[in-house]
Amino acid sequence: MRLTQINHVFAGVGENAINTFLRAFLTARPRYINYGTSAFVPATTAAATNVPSITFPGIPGGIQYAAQFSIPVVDLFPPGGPSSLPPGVGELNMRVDAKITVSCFRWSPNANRDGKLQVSSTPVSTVLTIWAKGKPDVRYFGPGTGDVGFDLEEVKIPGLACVGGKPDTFEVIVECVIRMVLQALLDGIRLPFSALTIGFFQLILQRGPEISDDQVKLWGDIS
Amino acid sequence: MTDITLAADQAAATKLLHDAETALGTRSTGPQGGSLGPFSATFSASASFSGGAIDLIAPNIIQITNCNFNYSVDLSLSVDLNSILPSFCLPQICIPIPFDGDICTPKICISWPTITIPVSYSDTITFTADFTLNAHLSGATWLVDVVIVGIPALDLSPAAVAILAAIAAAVTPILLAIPFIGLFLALGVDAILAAIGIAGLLGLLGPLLTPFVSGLTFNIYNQPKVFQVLPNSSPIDPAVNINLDLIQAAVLASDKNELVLTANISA
Repeated sequence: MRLTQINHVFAGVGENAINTFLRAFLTARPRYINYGTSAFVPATTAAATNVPSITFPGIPGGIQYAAQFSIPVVDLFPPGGPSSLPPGVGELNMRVDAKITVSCFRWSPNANRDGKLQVSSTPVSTVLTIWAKGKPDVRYFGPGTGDVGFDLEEVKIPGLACVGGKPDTFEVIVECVIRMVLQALLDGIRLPFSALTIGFFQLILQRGPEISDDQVKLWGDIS
Repeated sequence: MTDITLAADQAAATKLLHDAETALGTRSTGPQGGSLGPFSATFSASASFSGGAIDLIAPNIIQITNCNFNYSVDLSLSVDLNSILPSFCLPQICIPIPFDGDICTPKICISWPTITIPVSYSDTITFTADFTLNAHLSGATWLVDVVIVGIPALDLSPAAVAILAAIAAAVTPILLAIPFIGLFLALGVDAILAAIGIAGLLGLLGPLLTPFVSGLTFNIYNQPKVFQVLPNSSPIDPAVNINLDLIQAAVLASDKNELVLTANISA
C-alpha cells in the first residue's frame, strides 16, 4: 500500500521513536520534569525548575514542595498493553510516575527569646502513577517549520480510584490538578518537523498528524 | 518495526534529486597537458548536472531520464607552424653599382612562429541512466547516495564538429597577424583542422568528459549520526540530540512506487 497516499511525502514516527525523543529531551533538559520550591530547588538550572511556594497566611515561607516526574512513556493506538486509560482510535496515552514531596512544617505559635519562630520540617512524599490520554497537537509555520506536541484530554490516577467505581471529589480534584500540571509540562516539549523527518525533507504539512499502527503520521509535499 | 519511516513519491523524489544536483555544484578537472592530433594542448573542463525526471523501480533502481549534463571545455592548442607550412625565404637581391660591383640584400628565410589557439566551448548533453541507492555511514555522517550504474553513452560528435569550427574561427585572426603569411593563410587553417580532425577531438573529449559521469553520485541525504533535535537555546536548555543508529533506503513497490527511507534511533 502506498505510504504517501494522495500526497507526495509521508512521515511515520513510531511510538519507540516518540519515546526516544522524549528520553533525549528530558535527559538533556530534566528541568521540565523536576520542579521544586526554594527549599528543594534553590534556582532554576537545566536539572530542575524553581517554582514559588504556595502561600497561605500564617505558614512561614508558604508551603514548600517538590514534584518529580518520570520520563513519560507514550503508547500510540492501538494499545500496546494494559492501561487504566487505553488510547482510542487516533489517540495516544502516556504513563508517568510523579513523586510529590511536601515539606511538612511544625512551628511554635510563639517566638523564642531572640524573636524567631521555632520551625521544624519533615519532608513527606508519595508516588503516584498517572495515566493520561490525548491527541497530538500540531503547529505549522511554513515549509519545513512546525512541531508536534501533546494535547491531554483526560488523566487517571489508579491509586486514587474509589472502590465503588464512582470518582469521589478528592480524586476529581487531584486528577484535575495533575492534568493541568502535566499539560503545562508537556507544552514545553514539542518535536520539530526537522526531527520527525530526521532532515530528509522539508515538510509542507497537508494532512495529519494522525495516529494509527503505533505511528504518528504526517503527509504533505516538500519545498 | 522501524522507528521512523519517510516516503517520497516520484514527484517528490525528483525534487530531492534536483536539490542534490544543485548541491553537487560544478566540478572541474585540469588544466592538464596532452596532445590533440600532432599538436600539444592544454585542456580543462567543468561540468554540472540539472533537470531530469525520476522513475522509481523497485527494489533499488532510480532511473533518471533526460538529465542535463552541462559542460564547458577550455582548450589551448600550441601549433608550430613550421610543421605544417612550407619554408619561405626572401631571395637575395643584388643591384649592380657601376664601377663598384653589386650591392646585395641577404637571403632572408622566414621561420614560422609557434602559435597558441585558445578555444572555449560549452554545451549540454542529455542522458538517461539507472542509479542505485546506497545508504551508508561515512565516518560520523549518514549518507544516502544515488549512484550511477555503468557509464551512459554521451554523444560528443556534435561537440567535436562545433569545437573544430571554433578552432577554425579562432585560428584565422591569429594567423593574419603573422607577417608574410597571407599566401599561406588558407593552407595553414586547413592543415591545422585536417591534422586535428573529428576523430582527434572525440579522442580528447571522451576521456576528458566521461569521468564526470562515471561513478556519478548524487547525495540525497546527509546528516550526522548524532542528530540535533533542538539546538542549545540557553544555559538551562542545552541541545537535545539523538543517535541515528541505522539508516536504510529502498524503492518500495505499490501502485505508486516510492522512495522510502527508514531510520532506527536511540537517545
